[in-house]
Amino acid sequence: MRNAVLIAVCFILGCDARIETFLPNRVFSLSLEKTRGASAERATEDARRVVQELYGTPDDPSWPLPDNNLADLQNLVRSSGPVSSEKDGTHLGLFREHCVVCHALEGSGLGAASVFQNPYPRDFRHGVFKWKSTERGKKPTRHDIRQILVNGIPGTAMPSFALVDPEDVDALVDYVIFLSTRGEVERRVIAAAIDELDYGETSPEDGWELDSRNEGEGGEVVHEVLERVHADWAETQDHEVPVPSFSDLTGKALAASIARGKEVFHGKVANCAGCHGPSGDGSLPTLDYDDWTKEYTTRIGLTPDDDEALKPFREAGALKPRRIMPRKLQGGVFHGGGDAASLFRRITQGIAGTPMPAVEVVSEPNGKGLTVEEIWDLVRYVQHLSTSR
Amino acid sequence: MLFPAVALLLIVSMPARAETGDLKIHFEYAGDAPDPSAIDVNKDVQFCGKSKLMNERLLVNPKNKGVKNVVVYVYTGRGGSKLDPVPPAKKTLTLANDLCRFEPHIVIAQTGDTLKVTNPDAVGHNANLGFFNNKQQNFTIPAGQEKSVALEESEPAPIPVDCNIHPWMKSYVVVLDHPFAAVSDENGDLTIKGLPAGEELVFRVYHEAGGIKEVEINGKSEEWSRSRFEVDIKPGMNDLGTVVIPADALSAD
Repeated sequence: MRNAVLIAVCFILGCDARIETFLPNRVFSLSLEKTRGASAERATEDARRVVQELYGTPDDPSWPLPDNNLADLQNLVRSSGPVSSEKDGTHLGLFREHCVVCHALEGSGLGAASVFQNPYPRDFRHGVFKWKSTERGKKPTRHDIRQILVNGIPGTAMPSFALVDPEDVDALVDYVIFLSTRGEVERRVIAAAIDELDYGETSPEDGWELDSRNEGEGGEVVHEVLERVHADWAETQDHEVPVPSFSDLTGKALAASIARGKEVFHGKVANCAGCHGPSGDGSLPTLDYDDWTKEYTTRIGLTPDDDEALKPFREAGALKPRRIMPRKLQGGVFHGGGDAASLFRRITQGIAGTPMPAVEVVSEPNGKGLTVEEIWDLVRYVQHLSTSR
Repeated sequence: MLFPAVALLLIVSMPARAETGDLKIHFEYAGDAPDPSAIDVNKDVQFCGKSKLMNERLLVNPKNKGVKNVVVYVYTGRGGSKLDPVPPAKKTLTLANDLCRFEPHIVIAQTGDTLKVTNPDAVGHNANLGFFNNKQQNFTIPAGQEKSVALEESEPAPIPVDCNIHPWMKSYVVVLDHPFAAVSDENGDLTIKGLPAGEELVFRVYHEAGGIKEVEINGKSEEWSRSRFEVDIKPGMNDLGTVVIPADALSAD
């Protein structure tokens, strides 16, 4: 729908026409309607208004709290708006230049090219990211997002932007944080409006309407959400997962470690083979989905392949549900990086938003978790698998 | 002389502390009891396939149409009841991965409690806890082992717990900052005990299979707007009677 509008606007006014507003998160509203048994229409509309007052528009962004170290307004301005460049070569409209075709203006992952991709582009609005150095439930650090932009994500459509000016990459990191924060605030405000402020078919009583100023019950709710989401981003560097030292082994020592790692892989504690299949060949049957998909399917009691039931969600923009598959570990492609530190974090934290669970780190073997040395053995085995076919 | 004085004090102060009421509700399904569908066991078939696993989303007793797993709790959010703080009971509650299903299906906890996730099964499981306020985690539990989770914050809604190795395994954890909650049994009966008496309390009702908004209580239609209802709690037993849930409010799959 957005694409059709964009194309129409381009024909009539030219592609630099102003875009006055972000689209509301209709898919999330529909999911809420299903779980809460209440109309989300008024809540969605009021949330759209309030979030626009706080975060501005695709052409004119603003940052609602004085925590500017999260996102610099100059960077947001440079990343937003139509694509153009100045005499000195400064690029403007960076997000629309590099990102919008997949991630869409809202960072919803519903861009024009999204349907052709597997996996789908990330929807930033959940505030959940898979490839990062922090604890499972925490936001990524700026460095994590930067690494993704610079390196891309192997095995997916996400390309490397290593050739883009580093200052432009920095500006885009800010803009990703902006879109994610804005989108998560919008989601939480819609939910809080229904759950706490009695929004439904009718507006709530006086003083309970959503308000971007910190006034009345409705304003309080908005500011609680705002402060929580911003605090989650601000504190995330305190939740980086430390990685113990890893030694590069060769020859017999490496072979022995790989052999031990194979035992761990198939063992009862890690049980990697339970999903990734014997020898990590991905041969086991799975019927699971990621959290982005579950939100409009299994979590609200809809069967993902029930096209009829999903119709309203698809019309609101939801992508056709796809199963999530455990990584086939042979073949050498790790979406989140195959270096020892990344694999250590993935094994000890799991992967946010996905079925991949975490293994506890223990100091002595106790049948409940793995020791650091056992994890390194496992890492070496998995790295070894990735070079076999 | 001191003793009678203390005794008198106790007697005088007792009613204020001891006046509590219990709330009893019987939930019934208006439609025919659906047959729960069988689970297609496609993982660890040798072990998990031994017991007959059923989809537990909507369980209606075919004998009396009682609805299992209806959760009712005192709602203390905005516009809800204001309760005096209740000291944490610091209980340890068990959620077992038992024969490739979670037992119990719904755990009701108070902040300060510990959730012990056990695995008496011969196969490995994991527990994916999609918390909103507590630390989100998803850990593996090897066969015969257990893991403990501290429930430090209350949660705004029942939190789904999944095992992703066996995606049919689903359960819910309710975490509240008070103990006033209950879940209905196989006859559709629940009782919330020890409620503060003498005031109107706001309750919220939850069932995983849909929203409960319009009900019939003892034959009279009532609207439970936003799945909430109010009851003036009197000392002793408060029996709300039979609450009939319309058939189209809940779906079995």
